[in-house]
Amino acid sequence: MVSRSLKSLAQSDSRFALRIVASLVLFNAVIFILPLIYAAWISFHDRDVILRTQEFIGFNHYRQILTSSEAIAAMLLSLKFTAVVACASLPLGLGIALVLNEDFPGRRFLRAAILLPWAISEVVTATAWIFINNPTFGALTGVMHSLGLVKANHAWVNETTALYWVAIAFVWHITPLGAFFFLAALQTVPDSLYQAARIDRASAFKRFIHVTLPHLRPTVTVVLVAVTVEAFRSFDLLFAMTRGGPGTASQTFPMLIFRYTFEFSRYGLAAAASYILVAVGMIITTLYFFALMRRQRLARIADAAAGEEARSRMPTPGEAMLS
Amino acid sequence: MTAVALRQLCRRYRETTAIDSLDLEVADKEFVVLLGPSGCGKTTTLNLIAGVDAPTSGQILFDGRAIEHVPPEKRNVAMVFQNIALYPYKTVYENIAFPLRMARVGRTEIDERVRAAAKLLRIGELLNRRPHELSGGQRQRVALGRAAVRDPLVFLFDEPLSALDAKLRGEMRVEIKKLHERLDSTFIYVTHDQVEALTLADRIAVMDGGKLRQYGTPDEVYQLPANTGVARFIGSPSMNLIAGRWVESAGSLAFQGSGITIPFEAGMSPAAQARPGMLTLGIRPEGLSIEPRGLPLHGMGRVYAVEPLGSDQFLHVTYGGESAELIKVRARPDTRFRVGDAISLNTSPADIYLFDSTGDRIFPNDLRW
Amino acid sequence: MRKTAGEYAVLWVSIALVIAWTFIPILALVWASLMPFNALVNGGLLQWPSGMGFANYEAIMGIATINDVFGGQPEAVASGFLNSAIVAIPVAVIGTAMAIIGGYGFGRYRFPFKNTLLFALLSVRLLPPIAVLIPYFVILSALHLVGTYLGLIVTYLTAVVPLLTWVLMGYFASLPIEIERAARIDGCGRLRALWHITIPMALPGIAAAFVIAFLTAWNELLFAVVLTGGTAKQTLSPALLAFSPTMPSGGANFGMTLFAAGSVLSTIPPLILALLVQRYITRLNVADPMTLEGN
Repeated sequence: MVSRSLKSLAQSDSRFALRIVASLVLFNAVIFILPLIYAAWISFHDRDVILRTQEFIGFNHYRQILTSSEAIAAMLLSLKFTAVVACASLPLGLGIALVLNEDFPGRRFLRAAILLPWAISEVVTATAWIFINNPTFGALTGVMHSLGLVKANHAWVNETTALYWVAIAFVWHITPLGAFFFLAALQTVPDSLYQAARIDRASAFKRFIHVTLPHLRPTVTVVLVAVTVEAFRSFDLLFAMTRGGPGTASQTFPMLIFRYTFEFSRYGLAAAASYILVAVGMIITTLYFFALMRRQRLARIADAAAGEEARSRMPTPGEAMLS
Repeated sequence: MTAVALRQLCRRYRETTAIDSLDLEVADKEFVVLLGPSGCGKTTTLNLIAGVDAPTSGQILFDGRAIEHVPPEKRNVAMVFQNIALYPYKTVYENIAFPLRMARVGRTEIDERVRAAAKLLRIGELLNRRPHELSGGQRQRVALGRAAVRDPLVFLFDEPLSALDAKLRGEMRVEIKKLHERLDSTFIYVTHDQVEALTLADRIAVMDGGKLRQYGTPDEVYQLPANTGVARFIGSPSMNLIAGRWVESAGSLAFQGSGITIPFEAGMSPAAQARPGMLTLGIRPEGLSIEPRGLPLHGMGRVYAVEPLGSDQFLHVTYGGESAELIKVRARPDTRFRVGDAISLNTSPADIYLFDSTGDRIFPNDLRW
Repeated sequence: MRKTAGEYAVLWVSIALVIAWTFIPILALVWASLMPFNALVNGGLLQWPSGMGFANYEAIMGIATINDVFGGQPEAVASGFLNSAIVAIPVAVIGTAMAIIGGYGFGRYRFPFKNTLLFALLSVRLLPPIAVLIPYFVILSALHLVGTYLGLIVTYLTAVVPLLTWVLMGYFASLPIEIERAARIDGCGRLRALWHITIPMALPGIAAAFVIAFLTAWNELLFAVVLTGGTAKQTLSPALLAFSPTMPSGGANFGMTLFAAGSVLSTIPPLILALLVQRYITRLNVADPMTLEGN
């Protein structure tokens, strides 16, 4: 009797939480996972749009994609795009954050204004960059032509550069977010550490290497992975900027899926391609989760080492509100 | 206005046990202080009584009624938190009124009671301010007001003064004591500060490692510490504890620790406790002096450090080589000591404590005053 | 700490670079939006032609007409504003409300299957949206929800709720638990404590979440194209994109100034919202892996 009433108090809280959270997850699952299952069904069938027939063909679509040089090229392009964006956005975001963390007149204004590219939609981002790189009226042509470096109507966006232009625009659009994460982390570096390093006569560069960077390491992981995921799943900007062109020069995997669907009406093939994209995305997601979990475990160990005092001061949210 | 009883109360987390089989009786209108070092389980105990944490096993009784299945909002307790926990965006008035609003008390009565509580705590002029506009002491008064405005069964305090500076802490201590007199209610108060415990409590529950180590009046825990753990925790500076054994030479008994020998005469009461084997002898710093008091500490005493405090000075004295144990002595402020001076210390049989090899007290057994 | 002259030089050059990187594309866009299109096409962006003004804005909002414009549908941009608002506001309101509940549950409590549920929720966000495009399209077609606000709202909610839950989970977990406990002891049940105490304290985070949801719905293109493209319910992004020189419907370069004006206008609502909550975004705990804590 006693133990039952005890359990009921402890459990009622976790049951309360489980109930509200489960309803939320269920809503999302119904709207997201059921279509995914349906997509699997589509991918195993060949549908003839004209004859309106469905035929079960097993893994044929998957085989078709995995052996298609077009699809493999698209996947490689996707990975290349992701890598370029991640590699460019991370140092750029850190650099912007370092600048914004300094003390200068107008800092507050610049901190607010730096978010602009993030708030702007990818369609508008594409538009803005078209005014930079358009061969006829773009600003880049204007500057370079007047300097006599290129002739008028220089095609900046060509077979070799198209993907990079999209990447640059995407970096412009996504970097403010990473910069804000870094800025938040920078603001938590204790000033006393910098003062101590100064007293130890560390140069600005040494202070950055030995004080700032170690402090930012967890944020680097998070920003890196967040940007990676965003770049890998992105579609809008590419669609608005090059539509995969010229030719197929910037045709990433999501773009390919879009064309399978709406240009060729190959739903089955597109669904199978989607699943391959999901699989690659899952690998990235899982790595993401593992990276975070590992950090969490390390933090727990550090907590345990700090003793029970730390625990009583900073209870984990779960423990804190009854477990 | 309620007696509180804890019966075999346990709280375990995944890997640790915060509270282990705790039994505690708090009488109606009593002021009980839970005293112990950080992580001893005292705050967990308070949270269990408040209902914001649930015990793994055991019972919590209010006037004999088991309430551990009752959610916090229905327990009718008031609590003051270590970090004060005022509602940050509500005015002082609304903070104090909040529990009454939740209890659906009428508007005029809320106003009366809030103003009465504010008057009691002398924060009447702050009612329209917000918490961030208040000083630490004022915030703590508001937190007390939020508790006092209700008519709860039990008042709970979780280290309410630890965030304040020393001077304010002294003032608020008096304030809390006055509050207990005026409200005439049951108070359970958690602290790691022995001065707070000794000055406020009717009874002190000394906790360590999730267990109750001693439960008694301030005089009892100070004069008759149940074990070396309590002895070390109560009193500032803490009691000198010297490990050693009884030795017999030329028909008289002596206590021999590392570098220190204390010769007892036959009639002295501590000597009547002599047993073979290891034990711990304790002397409070105020029980030691440089003047002869009947019981000399033989050995090579040397001044190791001097801490002048104005009214007193504390000496740290080393005895012998291998014993790193420093003996703390309270001395009058008018004598000058230099580090390295040879010094001989004295005590009296009435200042001696003896603990057995497991740390439990074997002497004395009666209060001295 | 005082800086040397060299450090000042480095700092100001860096600030100039940051400003240039951030603002040059925006300036190019705004400049173009003020130009007569024939001046742009003939003389490029880098000039100050006569006839600079708001003619493009008036045309795109249907206040005035400009002759000689090819491609795009100016009237679709004006209605796109309305349609985007009709979609984005419910998404922001409902999505934030759902995320408050989810974030609070995940951020404050421990319960069975917590990590599993969290992973299930987050994977929805981390997967490419195009992966569910086909089944969505097929299912929503079958339900006659293609070309409706509802179809788009539901779609955006699934995209937004996991992210916001994650954001608010960190925010709730970072609030001092004692204040909520105080509320419980002062007589609130769980939901009353959430409503009276925790949500008001979390308002900065909630405001930021609301804006993120609004931006997502306002800015999204892919599902907007597929589900509303070319219909009366078409939102702003596809309406604008119709002017793009890369689109089959786009009039090569001839709609570009209108495109620019529409783009600038479309950015104003999200911009105002982003600036309003800008200082709260730094306080979000998204960057903190410890938001996963408390399983």
